Amino acid sequence: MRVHGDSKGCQGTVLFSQDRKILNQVKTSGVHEIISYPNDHASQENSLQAVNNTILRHMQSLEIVCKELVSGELIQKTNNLENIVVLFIDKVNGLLRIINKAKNDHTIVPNTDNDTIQRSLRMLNEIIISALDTSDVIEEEDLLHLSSIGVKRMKDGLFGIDNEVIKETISSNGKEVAKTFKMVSSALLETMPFCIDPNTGNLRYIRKKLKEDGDDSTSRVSGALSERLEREKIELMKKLNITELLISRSGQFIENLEISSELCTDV
Amino acid sequence: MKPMTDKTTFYDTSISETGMNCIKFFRLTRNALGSDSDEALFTILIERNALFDSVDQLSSLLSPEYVEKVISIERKILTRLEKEREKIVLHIDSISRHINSLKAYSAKFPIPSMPAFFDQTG
Repeated sequence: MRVHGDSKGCQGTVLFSQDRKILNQVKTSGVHEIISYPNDHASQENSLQAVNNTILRHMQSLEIVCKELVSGELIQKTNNLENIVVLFIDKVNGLLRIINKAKNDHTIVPNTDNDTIQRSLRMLNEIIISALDTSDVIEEEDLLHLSSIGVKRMKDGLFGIDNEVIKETISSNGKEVAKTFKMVSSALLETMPFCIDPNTGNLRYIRKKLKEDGDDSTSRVSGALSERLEREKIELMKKLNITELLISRSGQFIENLEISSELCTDV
Repeated sequence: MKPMTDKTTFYDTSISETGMNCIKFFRLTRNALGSDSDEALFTILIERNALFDSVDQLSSLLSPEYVEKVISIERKILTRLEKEREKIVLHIDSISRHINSLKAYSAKFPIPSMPAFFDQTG
């Protein structure tokens, strides 16, 4: 299954050229400084940049999955829900894998406090695991435990899926499964948006920063841009009306002259 | 017998005034065809638009050859206006697409989901 996250809303964007620079001003706010590293670190394999980039990429996918789960149609479509759950777990495993890999890399970023980074990595791991733990809210929220859906933690620390169990559970309790994963993915999105600061090794909560700086700026710039385009469109519509009026009058003039010319010839 | 005046009325406008309008009309037509910018073209043609009635009034007095010539020139104006109209329609269409794209865009966490927006060359 493919989740068409990036294609949504992309129609026509390639047409932007002049307006790109304006949007560039707000493009990433705090994200950009975190995912972009100084050149001397850029070539490091297994670097913190790779970890942060992977986290960001997986979090973006998780957001799309979350939206799919919120969709009303999904509940009625068993196959979709199953695919979404599989995709969700796959993304979570992707996060865990990169964290585990980074935990074993003791030279993750030169000249940075490695202990702080390792502590941050452990915290990230805990955040993911606790977000997927529904035991505290099962009774209150009428949710299912992930193990009863067929999702279990494996020895390697990753999550495994029992396809038969998940199919059966979805066919019998589809709404509850959707609700459970909606809660889990929301919890993960709310708590997980962290990156590791390459300078300090500490976790950084960039979602808030993006929301505070980026979204507001983006909406302001988008709003201004949209307003300008609307004004331009109105002007063009006026110009079009005038052009059509001129065309009509010119055509009528030619017609009159032709009639006049025919009359002259007849006489 | 009533003495003949130099101004004979033609409908409610004197012939001399109508004639002057015609001269102005043809001058503006020539200027319009020679104009490079769209803005100048429209300014001239809008000014010329008010003079059509005068030319219509006098058209019956023009020789068939001259009428043919005027028609030919006017067709050139018409062709240019059609081209301008086409350009405006395309421009409106392009702007509408931009507006729709902007409405569809929102900065999504963690990375804005429309990289096509961002010009890497700055």
